[in-house]
Amino acid sequence: MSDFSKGFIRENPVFGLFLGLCPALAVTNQAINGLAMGVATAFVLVGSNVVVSLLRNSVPSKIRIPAYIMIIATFVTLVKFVMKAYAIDLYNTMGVFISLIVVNCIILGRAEGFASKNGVGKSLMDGLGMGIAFTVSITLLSVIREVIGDSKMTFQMTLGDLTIGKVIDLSDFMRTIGLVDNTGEVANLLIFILPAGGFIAIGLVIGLFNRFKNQLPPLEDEEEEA
Amino acid sequence: MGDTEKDSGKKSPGNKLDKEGKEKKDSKGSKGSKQEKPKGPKPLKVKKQEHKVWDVPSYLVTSSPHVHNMDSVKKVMWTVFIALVPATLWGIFHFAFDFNIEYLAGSFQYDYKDIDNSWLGHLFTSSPFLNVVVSIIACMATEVMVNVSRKQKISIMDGSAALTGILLGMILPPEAPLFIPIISSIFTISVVKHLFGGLGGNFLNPALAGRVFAMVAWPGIMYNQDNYLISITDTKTGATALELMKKYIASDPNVAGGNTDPHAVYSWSDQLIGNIGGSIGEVSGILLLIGAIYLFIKKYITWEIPVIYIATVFIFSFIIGGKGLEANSRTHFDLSYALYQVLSGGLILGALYMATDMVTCPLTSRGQLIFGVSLGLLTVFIRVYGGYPEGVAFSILILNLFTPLIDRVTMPRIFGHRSKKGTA
Repeated sequence: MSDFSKGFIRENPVFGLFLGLCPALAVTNQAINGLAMGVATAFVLVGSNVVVSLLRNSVPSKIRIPAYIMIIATFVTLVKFVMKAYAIDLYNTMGVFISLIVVNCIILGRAEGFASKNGVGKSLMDGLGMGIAFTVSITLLSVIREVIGDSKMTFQMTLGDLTIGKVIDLSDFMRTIGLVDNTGEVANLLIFILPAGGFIAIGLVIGLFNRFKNQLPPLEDEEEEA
Repeated sequence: MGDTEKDSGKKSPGNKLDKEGKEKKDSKGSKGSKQEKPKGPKPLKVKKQEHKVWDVPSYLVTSSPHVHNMDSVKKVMWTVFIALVPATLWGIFHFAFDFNIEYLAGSFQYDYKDIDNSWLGHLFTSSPFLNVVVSIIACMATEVMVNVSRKQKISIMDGSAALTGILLGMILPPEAPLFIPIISSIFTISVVKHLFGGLGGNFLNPALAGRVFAMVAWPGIMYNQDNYLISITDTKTGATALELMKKYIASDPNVAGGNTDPHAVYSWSDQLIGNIGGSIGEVSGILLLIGAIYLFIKKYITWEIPVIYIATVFIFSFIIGGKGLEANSRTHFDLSYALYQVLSGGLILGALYMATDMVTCPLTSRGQLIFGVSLGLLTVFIRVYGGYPEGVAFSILILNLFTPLIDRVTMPRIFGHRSKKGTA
């Protein structure tokens, strides 16, 4: 179970290991974008971990990186086609960042660092844990950015013909705390939707996360003994 | 004792902590060895001194006698604060009451808008006054909160937070809603100053970083061309001097109903005294100059950066020149345009008070020369070719980022070392 749970706090890919920062900064300006990117990355991560683990004894060591990239690229192409077919708005919003999941360091890192050395079951749990942790992390980041920067949380997407989910509008709350400009509109801190605010937000979240992580009791490592 | 020796011999399976714990116990000694310790004088408990950045080192490199020059961080900060007060007061009165002083018919005349209710009441509820006061208070409050959460001594009496507050209040628009100074103050004190090390650790000028944060966070409010700044009376337009100039240069003179000539709206004496639009602190050139001369007499700012910066802006504005015969063209070597550029915008404020901030400007004279020239060039380019009419804030911030590099390049040679070229 520690394979599954270690990704959440101790080895959190975004805030702890600083992997996958490119999608974490680029697509987190809306909550649904963060969530969709996390789910897509998690799917690719689980799939590639399992396949790499299955093939770990067959792939020669010298060409393992190109081989892993091919496996990862296959899964990313799957995700891309599914998104293009069923969620075209999200596909257009995220654009090139879906293809960039291939070079997301989390996926190649876990493939190289874990799946190539462990069995299928463990790799599956590791991929699931890291993927869900990544999803939760960047959804949290995108919620923070969108609430401060746009005073709403967009959990709405078009799946085929349906529009599912909803938009949580916080502009009334912003009005009551006084963030209203001269013309009566809510004055959001637009910087947090822009790239500059992405860096500020992720820096502050990493700082808070590290403060929380450093207060945890140290792990009792049973594997090092053996 | 026998028991402790047995325990240290046993190797407990796995837990490093347990091993360390047991090791610790062994080093401290069991009860028996404690009693054997001789009872000498108790060691002096010295309170661990927190090293603050501005503390002078406690070693002396020369022997006495010494002359103490009575300078401290507190003194420098509060002196700069006092030097800024006249310009701020002018700005507040100018924007709250539309107060102007003009030199007409051989004498100075002032006029202001008549207020129905008491003028003190109007002053204390007016937006410029509230902005400055709120930003000072918000900066100091944020400093207190950050000091408490960092478990430091509360350091608002050293004046750096108040100085950042008054500078931030001076460079925000006078009609800005109150949350802008509050949130910008919180951002600048906690992120730009304390997250990077506190006093002396800021990597950017805090007040300018706060203003640029406000510019990017609320572009609609900060850059609303129609009601950016004052429009209390109908006679004076609300646009700043630089906005007028930018629109004027971009306009086509052949098209009828062209834009207003900025020189007709704001003459050079208007700009020097401060009867213009702008932010609270940047309008009055002469009061800022007086404050800066006071600081220069007390040797808190050096002359290199302001003089070189303003001279570079003047020279390059002169070369680039003002409005030409067509839209977006220039008549080169235009003296009035150069003077206009020097006197308007935050140039005097930025050059005298912000670029000379001791933490973020280079140390050596050569470095300050490079700094000043680069600042001037960048300001002129942003004003002329950039999208914003005002280039001082961005150029000072960009050059602040380059200061460590400039310091490294212009490091003075250590006395006694030979230069690489001249070795025998």
